[in-house]
Order: sequence, then structure tokens, then C-alpha cells
Amino acid sequence: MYGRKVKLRFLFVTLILVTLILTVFLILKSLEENVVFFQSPTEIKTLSELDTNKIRVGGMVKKNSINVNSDEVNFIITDFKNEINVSYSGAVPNLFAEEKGVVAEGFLKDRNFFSATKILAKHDENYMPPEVKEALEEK
Amino acid sequence: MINELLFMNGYAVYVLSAFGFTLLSFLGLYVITKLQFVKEQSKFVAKFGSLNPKKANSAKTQKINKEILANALNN
Amino acid sequence: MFKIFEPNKIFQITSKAPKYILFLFVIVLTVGLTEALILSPEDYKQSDAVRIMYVHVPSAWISLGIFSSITFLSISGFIFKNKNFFLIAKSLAPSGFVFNIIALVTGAIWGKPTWGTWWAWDARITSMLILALFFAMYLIAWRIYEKEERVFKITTFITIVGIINVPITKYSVDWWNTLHQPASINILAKSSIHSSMLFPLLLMTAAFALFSLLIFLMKYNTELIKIKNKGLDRL
Repeated sequence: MYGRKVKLRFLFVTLILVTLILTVFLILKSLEENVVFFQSPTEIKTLSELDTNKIRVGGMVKKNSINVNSDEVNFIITDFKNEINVSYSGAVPNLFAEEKGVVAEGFLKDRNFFSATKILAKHDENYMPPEVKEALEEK
Repeated sequence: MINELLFMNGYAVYVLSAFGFTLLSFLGLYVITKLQFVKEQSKFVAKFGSLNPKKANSAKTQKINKEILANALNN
Repeated sequence: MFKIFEPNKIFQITSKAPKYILFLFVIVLTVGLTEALILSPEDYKQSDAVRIMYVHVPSAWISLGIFSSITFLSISGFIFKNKNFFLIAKSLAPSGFVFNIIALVTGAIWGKPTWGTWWAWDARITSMLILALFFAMYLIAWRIYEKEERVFKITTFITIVGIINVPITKYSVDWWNTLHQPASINILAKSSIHSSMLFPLLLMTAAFALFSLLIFLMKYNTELIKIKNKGLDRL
């Protein structure tokens, strides 16, 4: 079998790894708030106090909720439990559409109203040709 | 047909620059690695040439040394 | 136990292999590029922008795979005091680093037209950037430290610290809300990518893996010649 030195070196490396994993785990756990890229409408609703800093809200754009005025876009972000109204002026990304993922960056006016300074489209992990998508929808 | 392929529904700039960057990086890495290899190989050959016959013979008892020399001459 | 991998014995193979690997790589890459750019369909939502996936995803996979291999080899080399493992690890690093950079750059190019931004401080993207920093540290360490004993220890330590970032990168999209989409390819469950797009993706992955192998072999041969070069001095 292996010599004593080999076993000791193995133990040494294992100890370093375990310690590091635990440390990183604890750090990430305590920083959870900052690691998430966006909050859901439900999380906004349950905030104890209104956050006045710049935050990001993410979810689905609610069906038939997009409203384009002269220089403003209004729509509703939903996570299917709660929703939040968003207003934004500026150009939206190509993939921005109803019933698609979106992340809005900006400021909360109140628990139901969000004023966005930037809109990002979030796409999902499904990739397929248009014909396949149509066939799926017909089903 | 060709125009349509090159247009890519307006995404051509993005798609082609992504592929272009990838292939250029490949080329760059290949050239650098190749140059390093050739440099090291010619250094070896030069050093081997400067050895006196006795030392050269003892170096040749190692198979790998002979192989390096043979490969260098074949290229 | 590791006698089969003695550099002196395998040099015969590693020195001849590159030209065949290069040939194979060019063939697979040509077929892969044709599939990825011309024959594969557009996506129902992303249209032709989806084609960037065929360079972005394989690069990310391979850079993560290479970092894991380097870590495994360094730790084994450290435990069993095997010099050759360190040489293999060192030779793997350059292509891993380049693939990491490719993943970051093509990701930015993909993000602009789809998400609407080049860069976001999202968990997946940031952890990929951290991986690139670890690759850079690893490569620089090999250049700074001359003494073998010392460079072996330092590079092993860098990989041990860096490897923790690998599962974080992999699972960041499942653990937290991220802008980046979750994985499409699942070994255990059904993949959420249509077969007409999966095929070019796998082809490109094969091509990129061959390129890594090619660079690895060339680098490894260079390192062996360097050692033999020093051996001549000692005669």
C-alpha cells in the first residue's frame, strides 16, 4: 500500500478542500441577497420596508399587458403569484415580448409600481426551430 | 440565397464576430504554441551539435533524445 | 504504478500524434462550421442569434473540464510526488484559458442582441470571469517560480482554491436568480434543445476538444524537449 507520507499528503489536501468549501459556502449563504441578479414580484411585496436603492425585478411579462405610449412602455411583470407595474422609456431589446422572461433595473415607487431605467430580456433554456414550436403549440 | 445566409435576420454582425473571434483565437494559440515548440526543438539540436562525440554518444543512449533529433530533421 | 505514462515511453506517440490530430480537427471543424452556420435551423425566439451558442457553449464546457482536470492532476501529482502529472497539467492550461476567454467574449456578443446588454454582474457570468482569473494566476505562477518543488506546491494550491468555483459556476443558474438561462443539456433528463440543434453543438464540442488535445500535445512535447535540453547540460 501507499506510504505514510502519501496518506498524510492526502489528508492534508482533503482538509484544505473541506475548509475552503465550508468557508465559501458560509460566505455565499450570507451574501445571498447580493448574489441573486434580480428579485421576484413576490419578494418585493414581502419587503419589510421599501428599498430606495436601484434594484432589479424579474419575471414574466404578463399577457396583453404591454402598452406603448408616445415615449413610454408600460407592462406588468408577474411571477404567477404577484405582479408589479413597470414603466420605462427607451428602446427595449429584441427578445422583449409578452409571456417571455424579463429583468427590469430601476427604482421602486411603491410596492406595485416600478420605474425602470434599463430593460433586459431573459430567455430560457429551450432551443428549437420555429416549425417545431408551431407543432408543439398545435398539440 | 447567399444574401439571406449573410444577413441572418440582422444578427450576422454578432454571429460572424463571435465565430471570427473564436477562429482567430484558435489560430493565435496554434501559432504561439508551434513557435515555442520549434524554438525549443532547434535549441536542442544546436546544443546537441556542440557536444563532443563522447558526450553525444552517451546522450544517444536515451531513446527520447534520438527521437527528438529524428523528428527535428524530418520537419 | 504510473510507469506506463513515463514521458520517455510515450514521447514516441505524443511526438507523432499532432499532425493526425490537426488533420482530424480541420475535418470536424469544417463539418461543424457548415452545420452551425448554414444547415442548422434558426431558433423560434432568438432567430439566427442562437448560432452563437455553437461556439459559446463548447468553449465554456471545455474550459471548466480542463480546469477540473488540472486540479485532479495537480492534487494527484502532489500526493504521489509524480512530476509527469504536473507536466500534463501545465500543458493543458493554455487551451483551457483561451477557451475561457472565448466563452466570455462570445457570451458578451450573444448577450447584446438577446438580453440587451454586453455584461451583467450575474452569478454565472461573474464566476466564469473568476475562473479566467484562476487560469491566469496558474499560468503566471509557472513563469514566476523556477524551483520545481515550489512551483508544484503553488500551482496545486491555486487549483485547489479555484476548483471550488467550478461547481458554483455549474450550478449558479439553479441556485440563484440569474440573467443567464439554465442548462439545456441534461444527462439524466430530457434535454431542452431540439435534436437539429443538438447535433451541431456536439460536433463543435468534438472539434474544440480535438483542438485542446492538439495544443496539449504540442505544449507537452515542448516541455519534454525543454527537460531533455537541461539533461544535455548535465552530461
